[in-house]
Amino acid sequence: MKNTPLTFMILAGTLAASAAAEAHVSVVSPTAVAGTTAVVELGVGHGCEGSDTYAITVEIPKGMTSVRPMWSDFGKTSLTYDDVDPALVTTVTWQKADADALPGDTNYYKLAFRAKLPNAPFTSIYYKVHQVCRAADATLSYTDWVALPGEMGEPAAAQDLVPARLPGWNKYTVPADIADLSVFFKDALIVWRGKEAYSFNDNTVDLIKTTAGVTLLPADGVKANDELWVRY
Amino acid sequence: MKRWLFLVAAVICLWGCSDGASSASSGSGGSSSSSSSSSGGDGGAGGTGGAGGGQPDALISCIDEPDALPRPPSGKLPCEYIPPGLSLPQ
Repeated sequence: MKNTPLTFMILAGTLAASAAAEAHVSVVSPTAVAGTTAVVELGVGHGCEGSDTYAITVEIPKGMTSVRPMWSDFGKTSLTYDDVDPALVTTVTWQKADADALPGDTNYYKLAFRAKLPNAPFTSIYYKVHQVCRAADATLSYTDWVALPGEMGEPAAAQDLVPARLPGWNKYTVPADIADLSVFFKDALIVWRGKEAYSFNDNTVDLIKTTAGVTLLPADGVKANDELWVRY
Repeated sequence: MKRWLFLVAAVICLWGCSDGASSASSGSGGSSSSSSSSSGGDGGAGGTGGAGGGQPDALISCIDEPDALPRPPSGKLPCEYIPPGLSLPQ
């Protein structure tokens, strides 16, 4: 009973933190195939403290080329380029017309650009996003979604690069330690390293546990240069 | 003469009736025979099914050998989940 207010505060803090974590600018498709040309869609979940989103600028990660933004009903686009290599797009901005500004924070926006993704499977790329909001009285406010893992602040939008795959068996040599297999193999039927097997599916995990000669491969157990058989 | 003709006609009629009866009998017999033949066919198919349930001599499509498909609650990983080159104890 004595701990009730403290428990309540911890619970409230946890809920607020999880709500903030959910309500950020994110990549609609959390994974993409490394080295391919893809359409990257950013979802803008909300504006700033009741104000509508007025502009979005995304920093293009290094290694990403052939960037071509798409117009949307949000607004038109403008680009900035690399000083050294003018063919490289460094930022894309979507700007809403003043006439389209909404009186409140009511809408979800999807902003997209096409790009060639870095050929770096089993890594993650981060899109730093700068959000500008406009209140009904035309006051502007700013939020930067730029924090990388382990940094303080609003998180940058993340996308995990998976290796190219075909239906059936695929063999990979992992270039670096993998902290969490579920990031890259959530949709695989099963992952093998030697006689150790991993699956994101609990029913398959049960079968792994009851099959003679097989041990469970922990989600954080894969190291650089490990060879994996993966079935999709 | 008329009596002789009547006798011939009677014999022909009997032949016809007999033929009709024979036909009818043959019809139902055919049906019976057909049914019996069908049962025999089923038995044959059953035999084939039995053969299919055993160890196949050749690698064939799953749809031709449904009994060979793994059942979900087998308690162990199905063979489709075992990677190439790996051998596990039964």
